[in-house]
Amino acid sequence: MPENLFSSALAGRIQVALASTVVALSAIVWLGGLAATGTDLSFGAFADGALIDLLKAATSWTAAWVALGCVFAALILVVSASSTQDNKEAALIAVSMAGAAVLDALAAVALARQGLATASPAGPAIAIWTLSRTYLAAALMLGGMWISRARTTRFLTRALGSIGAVAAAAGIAALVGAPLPPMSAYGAIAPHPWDLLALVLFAMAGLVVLPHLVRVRRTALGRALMLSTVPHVLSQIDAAFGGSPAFEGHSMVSHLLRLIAYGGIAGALALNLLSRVRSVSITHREFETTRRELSRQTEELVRVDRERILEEAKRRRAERRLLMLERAVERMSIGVVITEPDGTLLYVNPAGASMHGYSTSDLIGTRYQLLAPDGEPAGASTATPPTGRPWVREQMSRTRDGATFPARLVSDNVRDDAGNLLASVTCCEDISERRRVEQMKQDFISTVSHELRTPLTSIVAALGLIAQPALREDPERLHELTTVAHRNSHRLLQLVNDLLDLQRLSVGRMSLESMPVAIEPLLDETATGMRAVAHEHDVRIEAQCPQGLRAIADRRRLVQVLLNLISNAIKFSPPGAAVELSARGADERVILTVRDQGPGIPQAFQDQIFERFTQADASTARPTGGSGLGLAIARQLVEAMAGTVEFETEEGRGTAFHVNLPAGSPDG
Amino acid sequence: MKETLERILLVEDDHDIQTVAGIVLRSLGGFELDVCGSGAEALERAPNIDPDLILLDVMMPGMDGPTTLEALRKVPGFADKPVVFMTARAQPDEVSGYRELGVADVIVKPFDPAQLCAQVEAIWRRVSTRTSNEP
Repeated sequence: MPENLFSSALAGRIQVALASTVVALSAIVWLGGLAATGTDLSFGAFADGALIDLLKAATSWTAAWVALGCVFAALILVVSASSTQDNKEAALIAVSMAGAAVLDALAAVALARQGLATASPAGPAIAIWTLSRTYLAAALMLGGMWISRARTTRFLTRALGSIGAVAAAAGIAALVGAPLPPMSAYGAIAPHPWDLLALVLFAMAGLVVLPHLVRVRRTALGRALMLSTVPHVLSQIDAAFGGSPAFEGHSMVSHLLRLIAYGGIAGALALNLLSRVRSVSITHREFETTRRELSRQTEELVRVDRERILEEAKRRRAERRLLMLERAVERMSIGVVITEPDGTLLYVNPAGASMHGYSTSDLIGTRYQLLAPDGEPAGASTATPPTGRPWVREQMSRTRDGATFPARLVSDNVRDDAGNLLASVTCCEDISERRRVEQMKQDFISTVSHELRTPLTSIVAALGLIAQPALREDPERLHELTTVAHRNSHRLLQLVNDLLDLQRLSVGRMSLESMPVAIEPLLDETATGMRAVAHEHDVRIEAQCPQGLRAIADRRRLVQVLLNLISNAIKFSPPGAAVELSARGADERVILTVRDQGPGIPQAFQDQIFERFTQADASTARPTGGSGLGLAIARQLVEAMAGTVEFETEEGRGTAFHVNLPAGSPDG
Repeated sequence: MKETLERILLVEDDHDIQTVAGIVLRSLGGFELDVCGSGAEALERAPNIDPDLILLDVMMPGMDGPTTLEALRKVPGFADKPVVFMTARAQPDEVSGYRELGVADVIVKPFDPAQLCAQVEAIWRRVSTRTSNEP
C-alpha cells in the first residue's frame, strides 16, 4: 500500500469511479423521484400539455438532485483534500455545498409536496429555503476569505458543518412534525429580513471576497464560485422581490438560476477532480519514469562509486606499498643507484651516497662513472647481460676523495612493454668488512694450521726416526727422540685444549663456579707449579699475599688464568730476572698482579694484546714461542668470573698484568 | 755449482724440529749440517758457513723467513744460493706466494723423515741442472 493513497494511479481510478457513480446515482434517483411523485413520464403527457408540469417538477428536482450530487462530489474532494494542502479550497467549497445542498433538497421536497398538492407553499419550506440560501452565501464568503488567507480548514469546516447540521435538523423536524401552513411570502416586497441577508451576503461574496480569491489563487474553482454568485444573487432578488407561488413565474426563474449556480460549481468541482486525477496520473507516470531513471542512475552511481572506492583502495594500497618500499630503500644499509640508459644518475639512496663519500643531492644528475674507478666497467646500463638476469659481480668502487673499496654489485634493467631500456637499478654493498673478516678467518685457519703442524712435525719426525733401523741400536738417540715426541704431544694437547676453551667461552657454554677462593694458598700453589718451568728459563718466581684474602671465582679456572700469565711472564723475562706474583684487597675487590722484567709491550702491539693468536697475527714473525691464545683465554675467563684484566707496561722495564675480581668474605 | 749436495744450513727456531731435522739430515742423509735458531743468526753466520743449500723456516721470531731471504740475497755470494722454505703454513695460496719469492722449493711441515733427504737431493739436482744449462 503506498504511503499516500491519492498520489497513486489507483487513487486516481477510485476517484473517477466514485464520480461516475455519483452521476449515475443522481440520474437514477432523479428519475426515480419523478416516478415516485406520480409524474407522468409517458409520451401522451407531453402531447396533452402535461409537458409544462413535467418541466416544473423536473426543474425543482433537478436543482435538488444536482445539489445532492454535489454532496457526493464534496465527500470525494474532502477525502482528496486530506491528502494535499493544494486542494483546500475545493474541500471547503465541497463542505459548504454539502450543507447547502442538504437544505436545498429538503426545501425542494417541501415545495414539491406543497406545490403539487396546493400550489401554495407555506412556512417550513420557505424557512428551510431561507436557511439554505443564507448558509450557502455565508459559506461562500467565509470560505473565500479563508482560502485567500490560506489558513487551516479545520475550524471553518467544523463551524460550517455544525451550522448546516442544525439547519438540517430543524428542517427535518419542521417537515415531518407539523402540517404545512399556506405560503404567504410571495407577492410582497422583502417580506422577510433573512431574504435580504442572503442577498447581501451573496453580493458581498461575488463582489469582494471571491474576486480577491481569484486574484490570489487563480484557480478555475475560484472563478466558478465567483460566477456562481451571479445567479445566486439573481435568484435571491427574484425570490425576495418576484413573489409568486411555487413553480410558477418568478419562482421558476429562481429555481433555474439556482440550478445554473449549482451546475457551475458542480462543474468546477468535477473539473477540479478530473484535473487532480489527471495530475495524479501524470504525476504517477512521471514519478515512475523518474523513479526508473533515478534507479538506473543510482545503480550507475553505485557502480561508479564502487569502482571508485576499489580504485581508491587500490591506489592507497599502492601508495602505502610505495611508501614502505621508499622508506625501506631510504633506511637500508645497502646502496641503491638508479641510472638512465646513458648512465645519468636518477636516484641514489643515502647509504649509496654515503659509502661513496657523497650526499644524495651531490650525485643525482651526475654520471655513474663517477663512482667507478678508472678502467672499471661503466655500469649496469651498458653491461647488463641481454638475458635479463641480474648481473652480480664484485669490483672496486671509488669514493669522493679518490679512495677505493671493494663492492658487491647486483644490477638489473627496467624495460617498458616494448623492451626499451628505461633505467638500470644497481644495489651496491661495501664488502670491505666482509673481506676483512674473511681474511681474519683465513689467517686464523692458517695460524691454527701452523700451530698444529709445528708440534706434529716434531712428533711425526721423531716417531719416523725411531722406526728407522739405523737408529735402533742407539739408545741415547732413541731416548732423545722419545722425549721430543712426548713433549710435543703435550704441546699439541695444550693447544687443542686452549682452542676448545676459547670456543666454549666465545659461545658462552663454559660453566664456571662462583664461590669464595682463598688467594694466599692459591698463589703459593701456582708459583710452586711454575717454578720448574721458570728454572728452565733461569727465572725466579716470587709470591707474596696478605693472609685471609678471598675472591669470588672459579678456583680451577683462576689457576689457569694465573698459569697463562706466569707462563707469559717467564717467556718474556730475561735470564736471572724475577716474576713477581702478588695480591691485595681494594674496595670490595681483589687484585692479583703478575709482573715481569721483560722488554715491555710495544705501543703498536698493545691494542691487540688480548686478541687470539696475536703473537702470530697476520705476520709470520712471532716474538716468542706459544700459541698466542693464553692472554685471550685469560681475559675471557676473568670476564666470565665478573672480573677484568688490565695491564701496565713500559718498554724496557717490564709488564704487569692485574686481575681484578669481586672480593669474598675474609677468613673468620 | 757443485754436482753433489754436501753442506746444508738449517734456519729453524723450534728446538725440537732442529733436533729431528738434524738427525735426519746428518744421520740418514750424511750431510754436513749447520743450524741457526733465527734469521739474524743465519745472516751473521752464513758467509762463514757458505752452505750449498739453505733450509729456511718461514715463521720465526724477530726476522721471519721471507725477511731473512731478502736479507740473504744481499749478502755477497748468496744472491743465487738455493733456498728452500720449510713451513707449517700450508694453505695453497700461501705456498704459491712463497714460491713467487724466488725460493727453490717449499717443503711443507710435517715432513716425512724417511723422505726428507730424498726431497732435498731432488731439489738440489733440479737447481744444479737448471744452473748448469744457463748460458
